[in-house]
Formats: sequence, C-alpha cells, structure tokens
Amino acid sequence: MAGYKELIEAVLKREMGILGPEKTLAVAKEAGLKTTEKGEVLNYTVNKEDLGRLMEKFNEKYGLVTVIGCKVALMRMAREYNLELPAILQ
Amino acid sequence: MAHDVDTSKAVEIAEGVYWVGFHDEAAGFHCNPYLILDGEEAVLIDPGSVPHYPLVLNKVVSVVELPKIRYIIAHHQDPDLCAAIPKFEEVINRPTSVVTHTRAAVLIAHYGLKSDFYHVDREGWQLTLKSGRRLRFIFTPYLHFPGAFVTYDEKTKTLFTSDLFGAFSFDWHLYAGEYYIEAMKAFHENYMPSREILASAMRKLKKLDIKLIAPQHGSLIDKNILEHIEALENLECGDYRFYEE
Repeated sequence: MAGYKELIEAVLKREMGILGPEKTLAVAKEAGLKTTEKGEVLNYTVNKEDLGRLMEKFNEKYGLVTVIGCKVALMRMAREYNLELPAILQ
Repeated sequence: MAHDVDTSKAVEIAEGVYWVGFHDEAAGFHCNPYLILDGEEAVLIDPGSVPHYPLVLNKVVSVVELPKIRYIIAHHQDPDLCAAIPKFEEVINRPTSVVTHTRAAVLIAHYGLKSDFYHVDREGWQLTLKSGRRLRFIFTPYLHFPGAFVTYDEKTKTLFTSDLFGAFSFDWHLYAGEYYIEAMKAFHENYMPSREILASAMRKLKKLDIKLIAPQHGSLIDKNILEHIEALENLECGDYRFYEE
C-alpha cells in the first residue's frame, strides 16, 4: 500500500521537470526532507504535514504554478491510496 | 547532448523555419512564435501577445522582409498567441490571411483584424504555398479548444503543435531535456479535458513522420519523439472528476 512517501516522491519528480533538479532538491531540503539526487525520500517516515510543508515551500519560493503542476496527479493518487491531502492541494 | 543556442537571436530550427520567441526568465509558461520562410512567401505562426510584440517583431525582421508574410497561422484564439496579430497587420502593410479553424475565427474576429480568414476546415485541411510546399492541418478537437488543430510542414517534417506538448517550466531551454516529460504532464493534466480525447489525437499524430515538435509553450522536442507522444497518449488528464459532487 502506497503512502505519503510515494506522493512526495511524485511531487519531487514533477518539480524536477518544472524547476529543474537543483532548485527542487534545495526546496526539499528546506522542507526538512532527506533525499537522493534522483528525488527518492530517505526519511524513515513522512506524513501529510511533511507533504503540506513541502508544497507550501514550493509555493512560497516559486509560486502557484508549482502547486498547480502537481495537483491533478496528487488528487488522483490520494484517491487511489485513500489518503487525505493537505489544504494547499485541495 | 545539450544544444548550444543563442536565444537572443532568431534560431533556425529546421531549414527555413525559425523560432522567433525570447527567453522570458520570469515566466513559468513560455510562448513560442515561429516563422516559415519559403521563397517569396513567409508564414508566421502563433505570433504572440501585445507585451511580447516588440521582442517578436525584432526577431521576425531579422529574418524576413515583413511584406513577404502572406499567412498568419493562429492555432486558436487565445491572447497569448493572437493579440499581436493586428499590430503585425499594421507593419506588414499588405493583405494577409489568418489561417485558423472556423470555430476559432468567430472569436479571433474580436481582435479587430483586417485580414481575411483562411478556414482550414473549409479548405481541405491543407495550405499549399506558391512553391508547392504543403502545410497539412490535423484536427485535435477540445485540446484545449473545440476548434484546435496542429500544423505539419511536409518539407521539414516539423509539427507545430499549439498547446499540445507544451509545458510549465521555470527551467526553460529551447530544446527539451531529460525532465521535460514531467513538465509537459504538469501542463496537460491541467489544460486538457480527458485521457480519451488526448489519446485520440496522439494516435493520429503517431501516423506522421515527425522530425521536430514545435509547441507554442515549453520547449522544442527533437529527440525521442515517440516517447513524448506516448507519454501524452497514456496520461490521465482533466480534473472534472474531482469536483463531481
């Protein structure tokens, strides 16, 4: 069963397309995530708050396009995995 | 391998085909106008918005004498690709035809154009230039406008795709790189209505021999063309299902 780790990794993959890897990984680090250079999450556990904090950081630094660019895919994944999304993605 | 391109100038992307846009560093949503030079005739494609007009005009005059522009293709009616048409009409200063679908023409007329319309859906979905060069138009309805279409230049095998293959990108390069498919998905998930409609268009495009995809937003695709088409063919897009109740 997939969880928030998969959602966060999907966000990082998407942002690598929108922002490029360097900016994406810098934001992930600022949001408190440990990742590989490919965007795999190394934190032992992550949750809805981690996903919300990450999206807030992208929004704050690069604007709403970074949120919109993930939203549809994340809504679909959340529905499939029966997970609740943070407010910024609803 | 990365392309070494000076985007401060018009860039020849195929023989006689030029990108005449500019690197808009503040934008996450680039606009790409193009120009086809064909002997004594030229075709301007999706010329752009009013704020972009001086920059695009500067590039256009660097490669063509303005009165040579005989046709302006407008793939749909949005202001980011059409609003500058009346300004171009003034400087071209000779009769031109705006090439578009009937459904778009009724809206484009509101920009106050002087040109006649060349309706692709009433002209056999093609335009033959004086040289015999043929531009084919492929109907891609509802992507994202009911009268949307794309243009295939048979000579260079360049496909001008309007919004299709566009992308959200703050990491913009003229040519698509390793992560472009993700940037492309970000745009299509939001702007295209459904997988069924998008996949239907991709199946049509797969039948063409394409060397270069030239979208109106995002980056040019000159490698792994089939991979990019299939990424869109298989994409779940359109968010209406999430707002049904």
